[in-house]
Amino acid sequence: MRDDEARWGLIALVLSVAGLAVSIYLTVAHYAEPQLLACSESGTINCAKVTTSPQSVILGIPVAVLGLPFFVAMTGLNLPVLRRGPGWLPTARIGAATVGILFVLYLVYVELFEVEAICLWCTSVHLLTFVLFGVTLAGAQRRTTV
Amino acid sequence: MSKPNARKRQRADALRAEQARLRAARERRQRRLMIFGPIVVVVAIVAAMVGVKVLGGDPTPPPVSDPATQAATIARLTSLPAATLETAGAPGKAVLTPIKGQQPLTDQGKPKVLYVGAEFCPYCASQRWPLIVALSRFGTFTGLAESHSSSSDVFPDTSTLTFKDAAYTSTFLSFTPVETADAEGNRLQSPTPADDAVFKKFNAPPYVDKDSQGSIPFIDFGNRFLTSGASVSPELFKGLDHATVVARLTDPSSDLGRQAGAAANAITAGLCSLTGDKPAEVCTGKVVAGLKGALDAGR
Repeated sequence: MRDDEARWGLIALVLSVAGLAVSIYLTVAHYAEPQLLACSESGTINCAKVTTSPQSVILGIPVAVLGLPFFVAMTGLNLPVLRRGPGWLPTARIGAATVGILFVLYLVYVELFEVEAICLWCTSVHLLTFVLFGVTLAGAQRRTTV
Repeated sequence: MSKPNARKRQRADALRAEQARLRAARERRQRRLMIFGPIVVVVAIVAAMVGVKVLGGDPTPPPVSDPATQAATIARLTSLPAATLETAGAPGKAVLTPIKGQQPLTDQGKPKVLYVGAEFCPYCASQRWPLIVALSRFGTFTGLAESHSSSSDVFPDTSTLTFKDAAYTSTFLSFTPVETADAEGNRLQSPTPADDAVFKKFNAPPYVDKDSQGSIPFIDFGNRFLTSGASVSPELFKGLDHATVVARLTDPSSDLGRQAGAAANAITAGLCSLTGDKPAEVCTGKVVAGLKGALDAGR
């Protein structure tokens, strides 16, 4: 069971680091690309349309930037050094992963019904968050059975 | 130990083993439910959203006003008082980009303004308002009609007026609008080869940023100035019908009135530069004259 827990923890760590990498890319792209008040390309899959839409900013903070603290937190919570950490850690991991997946559901809604376009980079972050959510739940259950 | 007692103990052991097996099975089921339950809920929510989106069909575009209301709205828009525009002042950042050292763009001896946009485009929708206000100070529009930007793009259903059937007469200027697509993105009008050449030449580096190359709305002011993109954000028009937009334009204390009015002043200054400060009553206004002075200094 310890091996199982270590394996789930490692998978969660890899997913968190991957999510962090994509979030860094989206944050850099958000600030590097000019906010054009113009129409260019069209179509359902359109990152520029999503990342420059009014909904790409929440309370003045770009959504791309909001991904950074989430994946930093998940990376920290899944570090191997914390594997035998305090008993509240699994709860913290599940709490953080739940916040992440709820936010993803909101963003999917915004993409589908408000912006009406899909950004593939954003979708990759959503998928990573979803798998991370499942892995976190599975890891927590393994721990309770040790 | 007697035989009956041994049997009893065996039965009790078997019962305990069975209870332990059932308990373990129940715990396994609970564990699976704890893991897969939330995952299934998340997948179901996403699937439901995608289903609603796919099966929901296209949204219905908002209605336009009846002809009499449209006419009144357009008449009010094309005759905004000079004092209202003066109060709106100058924009916070440059609206017109100078073009240096080019052959002037003219039509029948008059400086020509070329607009290329599309009805679906929300940025074209917001840009038409100050453009119409400014051009109306130099001439007369006919054939303007209420329309909206696409219902399925950013800033959906932004209220605007289309140039599709519009004509413009002026003793000072010529205006050629091209609406390349309707609100659904279907092909509508094509620029003449000469206008297309102007669009392709000046809507590309070094005249505009690489990122906005080929984008719309694009306006060429006699090959002396250009705008690429909107001068006012469509966000300002969110949820407003045409009559309300015009009401806000007449109120320079509103965000929309101030920003769109200021953009109209900047465009007016560029047009005054093209016409040699004619008509005087338009070009000698304090704000317009100041903006034109800055434009001329920049050239």
